[in-house]
Order: sequence, then structure tokens, then C-alpha cells
Amino acid sequence: MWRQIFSQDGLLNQVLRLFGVTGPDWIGSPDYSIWTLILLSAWQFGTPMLIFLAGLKQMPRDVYEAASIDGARGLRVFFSITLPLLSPMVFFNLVLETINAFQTFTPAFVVSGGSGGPIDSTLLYTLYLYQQGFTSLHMGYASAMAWVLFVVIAIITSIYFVTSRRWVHYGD
Amino acid sequence: MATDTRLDLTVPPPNRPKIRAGGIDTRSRRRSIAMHGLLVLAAILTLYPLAWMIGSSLKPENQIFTTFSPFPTNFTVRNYVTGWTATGTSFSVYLVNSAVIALGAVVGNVLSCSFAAYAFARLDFAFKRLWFVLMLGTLMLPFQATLIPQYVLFFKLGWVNTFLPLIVPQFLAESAFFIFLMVQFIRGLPKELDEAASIDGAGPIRVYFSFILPLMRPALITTTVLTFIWTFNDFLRQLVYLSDNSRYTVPLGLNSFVDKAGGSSFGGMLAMSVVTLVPTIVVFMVFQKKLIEGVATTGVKG
Repeated sequence: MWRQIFSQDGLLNQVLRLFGVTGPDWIGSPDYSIWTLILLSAWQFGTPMLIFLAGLKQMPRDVYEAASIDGARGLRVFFSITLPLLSPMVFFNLVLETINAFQTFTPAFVVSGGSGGPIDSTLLYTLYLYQQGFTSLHMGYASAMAWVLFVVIAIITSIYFVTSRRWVHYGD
Repeated sequence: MATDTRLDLTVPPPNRPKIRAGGIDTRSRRRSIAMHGLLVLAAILTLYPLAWMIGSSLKPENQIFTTFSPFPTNFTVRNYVTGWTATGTSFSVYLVNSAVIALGAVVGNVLSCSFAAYAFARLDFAFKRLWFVLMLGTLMLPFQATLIPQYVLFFKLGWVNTFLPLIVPQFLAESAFFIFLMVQFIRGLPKELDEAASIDGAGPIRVYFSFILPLMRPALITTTVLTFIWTFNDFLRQLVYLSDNSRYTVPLGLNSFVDKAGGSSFGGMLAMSVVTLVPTIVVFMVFQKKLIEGVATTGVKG
């Protein structure tokens, strides 16, 4: 369905034609195909949203009452109270979405049909790993690739953890 | 940053917005309309794929890919009727299998991950940082790397083609995602609570069951909902471990539509996809209500 919407004659281009704009081939053109993938991943914001909702549900009410006595409203409350109290959840989502982003496989596989898209523009790391390991059967190379990915993600995650001390506020 | 609460007479009094008869002033009404408009647009954009799927399942077969509007012009429920038994096994078998696995996974996850999270967040034990790092490390391996070794392990145990590989690991806190989620959640709770409880003589287990667990309700509900949805929709692991058609789950059943019908039975497949949405949505609605009812205060007073 995603391929339907974003193909040359797909829904998106038909809508754009109503405004007199000729849209490019979002999936078939190497310049735009990666943006389609990005949009597809950004569409799936439901899980982080649920986690933020859970975080918001455990906010202590007394802090908000104190703030409203001091005259804070709206955006001020959001940036000074809600966001710092929510920071453990922000950190969690940041770490996990980064890990997920590095491991993205299904959108690339489906949108490009397993090939990596026009001129390798949608050839994500995990897709290439899959091709090497399960299609070309270079198992050793694929395993090495998996380990490299692991190390890269581990380094980035540890950077997140080390820098988190400055902006994440825990209760303990 | 200290707030100066003394009366500052050099600042002019705040502008009072004109209140209309309905009790809402013009400016905030305009803002409200704009926000609602934006939200409605965002909702339409996000829900379009879903609307398309439901609408297409109610269209006759030949109209599914030719029209883009999600509203069916020739309303028909034939897709549902033919789809239910199209793969040879009744779809209810798939639904029951999926329900069993999902239920087991949910119970296992909630129990084990909350214990593990409490240990990581509040207790001290040898090599705690190392174990935490290792736990996070399990998240970072791509599934292609762990797929084959896991299968070999379960093969040697003789658990292939049963539901066991899909349920038992959940009872052993396999899901680092939920452990980490709950760790973050518990760390957001103030430590004064634990200290107050331990002054009153409560040991760590008592503190956990009487204080932390009730306050963790939002995280537990989130875990329940997400585990259910992901287990229900999980395709790869179920494909790897289940080979009997009678043990197939819903995603595998949907997939065999395309195999058996040679790719031309999209109507039936879409109809069954809509059917599979129903348990997920029901679970979500039920638990969302519980989430909203959750207590929004901590146990620390004054």
C-alpha cells in the first residue's frame, strides 16, 4: 500500500497534481526513495507516544499546584516542569529509537522489494547484511557485519548514557 | 531560579481578555479552532491507511486497487465470508493460537520484567553495571545475528513446533525493552518513598509490592498493551518455530492467504486483516481506560 501511494501515479502525486505540481517518482527515484523510508518510519510514532503517555500519567500533582500558585501557565509549565519530569522517558525513547533506526530492516526490504532500491539508495545496513548472509550465503561476512553494527550502536548508546547525566532528572 | 513574589507596582496590570457571552474569549477560541483543525488533519493523515484497509475489505474484489477512496461504492461482506475458511483451516483456530501465545507472553513479561527492573533500579548487587550493560547489549544485536543460534538452542531442547519458544523466554525477562522502560519509570519515582518505608521497617520485597508496584501502574499497563500487540503481530519468530498449520497464528494465517490463493485474493486477506485488528484495538481500549484512571500523585505528601 505504501508503494501504491508513493509510486509515480500513486495517490500522493495525484493529490499534488490537483495543486498543479508534478511530483517525482517517490519510490523509483534514487533522490527521494530514502525520504519515503524516513516518512514510513516516522509514521510509526505510536509506541513512543504510548510510553510518553505512561510517563505523563505518573506526574505528581503537587508540583503543578505549586507552580500555578506561583503564576506559571501553559508553555512555561511544559518546559520547566513537565519536560524535566518526563526526561527519563525522553531518554528511554531516544536510546531505543536510535537503536531501532540502526536496525531498520522491514521498510527497506518491502519498499525496495529486497534489492536496496534504485541504485542502492535504499540499501540500509541491515538489508545489505541480509543480502550477504542469506542470499549470497557469505555467512562469515554477515556475522562480522552484525558485530560491527553492535559495536557502533554500543558506542553511540554509551555516549547517550554518559551525556545523560546533565539533562535527565531522576527521582533518586 | 527564585520567583520574586512581592507585589511589583512598576508593572502594569495584566490585560484582561474580553469575555464573550459564552465564557470564552475571542483569542483563545481562535486558537482552539486552529489546534482542533491541525489535530483533525493529523488524525486524517495518520488514519488514512487504516480507513483504506477497512473500506477495501468491504469492496468487491475487482475494485480494491482501482479506486483510491476508502469508501466502498458497492458494499459487500463477501470477503469476510470467503476469507474465513480460505486457507483450509478456519480462521478461529489462528485467533485462538494467537490469543494463547499473546496471553502467556503478557503475563510472563509483566511479572519478570518488573522484578528485574526493580532490581536494577533500586537494589545494589555485584557487577550491577555490567549486567545492565549486557542487558542493553541484547537490544543492540540485529535479529539476523540471533535468529539461527536461538533456533539451534530450541531445536536441541525439542521445543520446535510448539508454543514454548514463544512464551517461556518472556517469563525469564528476555525483553530488555520492557526492563529498561520500567527501570526508567522506577528511577523517576522519588527515593524518599523508599526511605520512608524502610524507616518504618519494610524490607525491599515489602517496599516493592506495597509501594513501587502500585505506582508503576502506567508502566505495567504500557507493557501489557505493547507486549500483546507485538506478540499478536509477530511474524518472523512464529514463522520460524511453528510448522503445523493447526498451530499457526494469525500473522502466519494471513501470510498463507497469499501463498494459497496465488496473490489474487486480496479481498479475503484484507477482510481477515481487519478481523485481526479487532482484538488488538479492544485490548488497547480496555487498558487505555485503566491508564487514564491511573493515580496522578506520588505517595509523598507535603
